[in-house]
Amino acid sequence: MQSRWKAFAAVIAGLLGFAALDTAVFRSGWYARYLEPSSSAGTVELTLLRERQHQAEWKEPLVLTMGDSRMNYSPKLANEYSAAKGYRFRLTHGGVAGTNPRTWHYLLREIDPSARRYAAIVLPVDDYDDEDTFVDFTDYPLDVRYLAMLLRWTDAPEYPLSYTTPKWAIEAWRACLFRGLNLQPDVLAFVADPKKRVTDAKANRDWWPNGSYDFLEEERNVVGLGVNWETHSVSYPPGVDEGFKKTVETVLLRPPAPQTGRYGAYRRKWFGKIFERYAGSPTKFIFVRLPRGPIVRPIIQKVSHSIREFAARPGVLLAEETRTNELERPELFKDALHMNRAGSTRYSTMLADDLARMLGAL
Amino acid sequence: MLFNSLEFLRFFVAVLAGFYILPVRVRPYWLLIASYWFYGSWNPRFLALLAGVTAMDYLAGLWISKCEGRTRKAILIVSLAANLSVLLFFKYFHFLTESLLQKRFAIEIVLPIGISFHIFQSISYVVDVYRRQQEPIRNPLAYALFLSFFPQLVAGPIVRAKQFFADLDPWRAPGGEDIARGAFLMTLGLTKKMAFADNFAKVSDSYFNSIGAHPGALAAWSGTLAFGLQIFFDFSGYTDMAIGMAKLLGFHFPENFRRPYLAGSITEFWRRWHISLSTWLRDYVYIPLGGNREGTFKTYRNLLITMLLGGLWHGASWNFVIWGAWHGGLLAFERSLGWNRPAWWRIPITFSLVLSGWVFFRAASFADASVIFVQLWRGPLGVCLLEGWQLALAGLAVLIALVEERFKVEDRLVSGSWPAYAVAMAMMLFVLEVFAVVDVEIPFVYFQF
Repeated sequence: MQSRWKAFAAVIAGLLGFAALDTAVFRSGWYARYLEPSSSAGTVELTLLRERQHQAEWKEPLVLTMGDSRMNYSPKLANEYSAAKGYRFRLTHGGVAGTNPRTWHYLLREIDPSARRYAAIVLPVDDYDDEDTFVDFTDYPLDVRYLAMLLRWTDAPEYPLSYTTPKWAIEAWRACLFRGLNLQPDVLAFVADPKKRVTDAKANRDWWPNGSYDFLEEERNVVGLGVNWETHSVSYPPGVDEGFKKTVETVLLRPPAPQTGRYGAYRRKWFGKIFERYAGSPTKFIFVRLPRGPIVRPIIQKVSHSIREFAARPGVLLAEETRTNELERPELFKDALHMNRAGSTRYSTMLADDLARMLGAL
Repeated sequence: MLFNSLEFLRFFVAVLAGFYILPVRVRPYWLLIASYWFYGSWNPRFLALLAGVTAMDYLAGLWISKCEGRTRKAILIVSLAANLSVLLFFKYFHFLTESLLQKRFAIEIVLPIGISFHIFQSISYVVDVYRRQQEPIRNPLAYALFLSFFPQLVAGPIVRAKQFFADLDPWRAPGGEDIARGAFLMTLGLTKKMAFADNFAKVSDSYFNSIGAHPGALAAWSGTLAFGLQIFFDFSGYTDMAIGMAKLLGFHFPENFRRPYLAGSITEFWRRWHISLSTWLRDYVYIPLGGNREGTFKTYRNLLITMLLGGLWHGASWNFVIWGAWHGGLLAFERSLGWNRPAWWRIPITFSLVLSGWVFFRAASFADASVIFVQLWRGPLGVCLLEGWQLALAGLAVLIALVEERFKVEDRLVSGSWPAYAVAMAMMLFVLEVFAVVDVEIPFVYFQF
């Protein structure tokens, strides 16, 4: 290459070639088929697969629920109940364990690209007021893992800049710009044993849409769990393990954090982004307050109320706040956070009734 | 500021931009400022040491050129002594006092990064001036740039003054081929370092840092192989980046690695591995000792002394001395067998011998090295520490090396058509994306020397 311009052009062509290769492998949907099914990104992909299938097969108005692992109602039971009661909608669940509103924004962009596919979208929250805890969702590192296959070049710089810690911001930049780098552990495991991966991935893709829809929670409960809030001591049910105790301590006995308004700002930003994308869409949004746990922590003073503020927007509804209080009992939970089968079953019907009432004659 | 860090990328882009924006006559000074900034980012205290060595050898060069006879020689000896004293103090003080006096003095000596490289570079300049092979440099700032030029400041290649100043005065803007090769080498070097070396480093570190946890011959061989691959990709990757950066700035560094693991003899290995050091040792140690001109025994002796010094140059430890002796002994042995010409069937033998030598190079102590040496040849089989994909990566490297050896693909790509070049660049970047180690920062091996 004698000419400088030719050399520059060749270097630029190399960079474009790399972008094309990255797109062909990681952004075309090809690699998504072979993601480790039990990984964060793999679970998100399977969830998308199921939702796309539901969108294609179900003709009734669809109500999409989002949420993390605490939104463990059974769509199947809810839909059977709805059908028996004559409700016209069907529930479908796009939530993924471990996710939060920032992830939901990007997840919804994939599930519902037109922003018009669903009659309503349910956004479960643990509280309509904003309590700051020591967990900072702004810098929640796992988000990048969940969004490994969803982030686009155009999500930079907004997504990386939503992190305040440089370490996570850099990882977020990588996730947007170099999808292969973000998926590296997955790719290396694939290369180490491709045959096993292909088999596992196929088996999960075959099973997941129906298998996960049919899933029912465990039956165990936590009867015997009690907290003395004055002494901050816990009485445990017999036979529980250290993991259970640790979760109880982390969830129930955590000290109150300084109320800085951080969580409120986070919710305003990311729920706000979701509503912004649906501006002008007929899709309604319904906030529901999740059953908080087998035992509820004493109320602390909360300085902001982002979810209540959202209710002032057109098309945003709030389910009755105290409705799930009756489910907050040890016999309806399997651990400090998640409902058991009995709790999940009762919540499934309760949710269907609430949605029918709020959505009217869908 | 590692070459593979974001911080360095920002630095290099700023240097490159400034370099081409500024008028040509100012550019060397811009590079000097950048080089001192770069060196100061490691430890600003050693800037004075670098400046001191620069001033000393700059003056020595001028003075030698003006003197004749014994004065000329005396200045050379003083300069060499001063350079070696700096090296001895910073690098070998504790080693020498512990070995000779059986005593460790309670002073903490921090090793200035890259000291072995720039001291050797400076020595070569003074000796070349003494030998009348190099004109003395009149401009002190130009000489300062020669010693501190950031692409090769901390780990070489050891550039000779003649090569460097031919590029500096008159400086010529890089042509299309320089730009293409520079960008290509930077990408290749980064890929070698982050995708290959760092992945093998994880295996070799886990093995050499806890030998007892990995018993068996297979573990020993795979751990040693991992180190052999790590050090090659690490150092040659660094060198590629250094040469590439220099090309983009209009300088041409000599080749430092030429597929050394395809060598058919130890002699050939040293013609392919760290070429700038081996030629330095040849020109400034082996030949002055008499080389092969004074009979068989003295040739063997000279080989051994040269390689012992070469080993010791790497670090203040008996393990490096043994490593040097290993190579010196093998060079002498090959010469006694008359294996002057490489043969393909000796490639695996040579490779095994080189790998065995790396055990001493990498092990933390002589005791550790001895344990590994025993494990290489005796005892239970154990498990292979390299995973399938890592072996595949090594296989890919061998394939590329064989193709490069036979067809000189790099030259063809750089001087050939742009689509083939672009495809090769894209492939390298893709390998980098998929395999680069980004969760931990692994320093370059040769930065410690």
